Amino acid sequence: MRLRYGLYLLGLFMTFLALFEFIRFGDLREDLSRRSSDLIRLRGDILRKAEDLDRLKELVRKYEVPVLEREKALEAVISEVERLKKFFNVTVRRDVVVENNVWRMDVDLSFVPKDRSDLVSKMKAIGGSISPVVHVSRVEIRQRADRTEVKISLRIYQPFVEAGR
Amino acid sequence: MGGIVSVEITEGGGRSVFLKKAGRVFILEKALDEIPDKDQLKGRDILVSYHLQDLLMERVEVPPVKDPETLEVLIKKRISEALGLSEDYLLIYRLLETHRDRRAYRVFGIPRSTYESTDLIDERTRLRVELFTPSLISLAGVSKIVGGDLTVFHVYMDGSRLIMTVSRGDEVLYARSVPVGVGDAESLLIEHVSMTYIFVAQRQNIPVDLVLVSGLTKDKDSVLENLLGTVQAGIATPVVPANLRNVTNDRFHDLLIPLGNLFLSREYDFSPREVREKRWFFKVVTRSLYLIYSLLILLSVLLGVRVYEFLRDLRDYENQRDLLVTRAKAFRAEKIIREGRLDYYRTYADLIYRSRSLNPLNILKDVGPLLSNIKARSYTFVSGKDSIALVLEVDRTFGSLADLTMFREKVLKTLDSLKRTRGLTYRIDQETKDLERNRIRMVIRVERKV
Repeated sequence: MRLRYGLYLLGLFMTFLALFEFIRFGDLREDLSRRSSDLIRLRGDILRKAEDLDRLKELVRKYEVPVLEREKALEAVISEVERLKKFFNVTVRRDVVVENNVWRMDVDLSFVPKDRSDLVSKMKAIGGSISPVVHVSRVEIRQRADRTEVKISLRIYQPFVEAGR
Repeated sequence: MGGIVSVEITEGGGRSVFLKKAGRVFILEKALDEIPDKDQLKGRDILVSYHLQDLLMERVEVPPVKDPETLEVLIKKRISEALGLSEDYLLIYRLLETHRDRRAYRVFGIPRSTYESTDLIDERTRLRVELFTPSLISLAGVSKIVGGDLTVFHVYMDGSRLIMTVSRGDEVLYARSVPVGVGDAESLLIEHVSMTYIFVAQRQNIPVDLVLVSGLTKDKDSVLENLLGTVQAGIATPVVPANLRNVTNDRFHDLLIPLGNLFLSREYDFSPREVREKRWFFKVVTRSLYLIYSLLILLSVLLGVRVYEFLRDLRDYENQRDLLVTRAKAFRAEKIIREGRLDYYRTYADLIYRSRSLNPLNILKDVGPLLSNIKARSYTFVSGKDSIALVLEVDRTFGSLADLTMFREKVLKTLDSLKRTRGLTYRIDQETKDLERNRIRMVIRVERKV
């Protein structure tokens, strides 16, 4: 009789324990599943960033992007303006400013092409530079009775790194 | 298939039958002329008849009480008052009548000392006894099987006693036992039977439907003859019931009392209340044991499956984490990241992309047909946040209105064609016509999304 009671109590205890563990492992598994999902998401992020990095590396290699410090970068902007002055009448619309480690300057160019080939050669003198990056924002070609006037608005950018980095 | 042992304990010893139960059928395995030992009782339901010379039988009336313990106390008090008993009795009671202010019960009792002095059963075995009842009442089990709902006057005799029990179905109405010797004159037997029958039929006012004669009585012709003359009911001898197998008719009469227990209602169990409660608890524990251990096995299996799944998931998780750590290390080992120039190059790349893709002159290759068809006064190429556009300012004078109209049609047709074939959108911001001079002025904006 005592053995039977003992077995009964033991069975009851073990059953509750098994039930408790069954529920606990269910919760643990759910928690693990959540963490696993986070991990997969994180892995996706890293994979995407790695792909971005690969593309960036390709771009850096293709354009031979230079690494310029603050002063050198400013010099690059100024020298570009100086270069443009050789071909165009240059008006500074907005002086050089720095924003988020990028030098920026807005200039307007104007000229009166002699003929079509002069127009093309002058246009070619503007583009193509990546140090600094020259962005053409507006080109206006106006026909006058006796001549053609061309006005070009440029925005010149030059990123830089802080010294020591 | 369950095992049953039914035992009758008498002064001289006892008799026992071992049966197995298959559905509603009882199959006799063996019968002993002794009380079995503990080992033989193991694993079987135990039914016990105890031979008593005197059985307490009384009708009592008590107020209506719901609580069974209070009712028992009240009944005991009434019995004690009526009979002047000093000894403790084990009682069972059957409801006879219900009135608004009282209830009548038929009460049977045996001395508690009788129960406790039964040396067949120790404390532990007692908890397994399903039925403990006097032999007088066991006889009613056979009466019920033979007579159904008829009122049966059952006369049984063996070598040491004459038992007479009157019952109707499960209701025991009267019982009496008389000791007899082998050499007793038949006239004495006849007198006992006749007197008891008359007492039952006339004094107790119980109308008897059937007289059963069993045991040695069935062979006493003189007793039978006398009964035929005395009673108005039918007389019969019980035969082996259909649901009792492996028993001959003679053996059935020998073992009538222990076999009667098989068919007797468990309400005639005289075991004390505390023993019945313990027995009930013991049964619950025993049955729960199977249930609990079955549940435990099931839960253990489910837990095992869950732990296995958890460990499998944990392994996957660790693999993923290792992979992630490896990739993150490789990512951080890149020169650009190491030197902290990621943002620098990213800014540079964005600027290069903007200068290339948002160069307003890029639209030139799409608007060639327009430029060749329209001689505009000015051409303005502009870039927006995510688009490039050409704004044409047209100011033309024609020789006739028809030429002007044709020109206008040609411009619109070209614009529609560009929209259709090159995916450009256009908008005429301003349009004025001077019909006197056949002059038209238009400002047209052609745009491409980047």
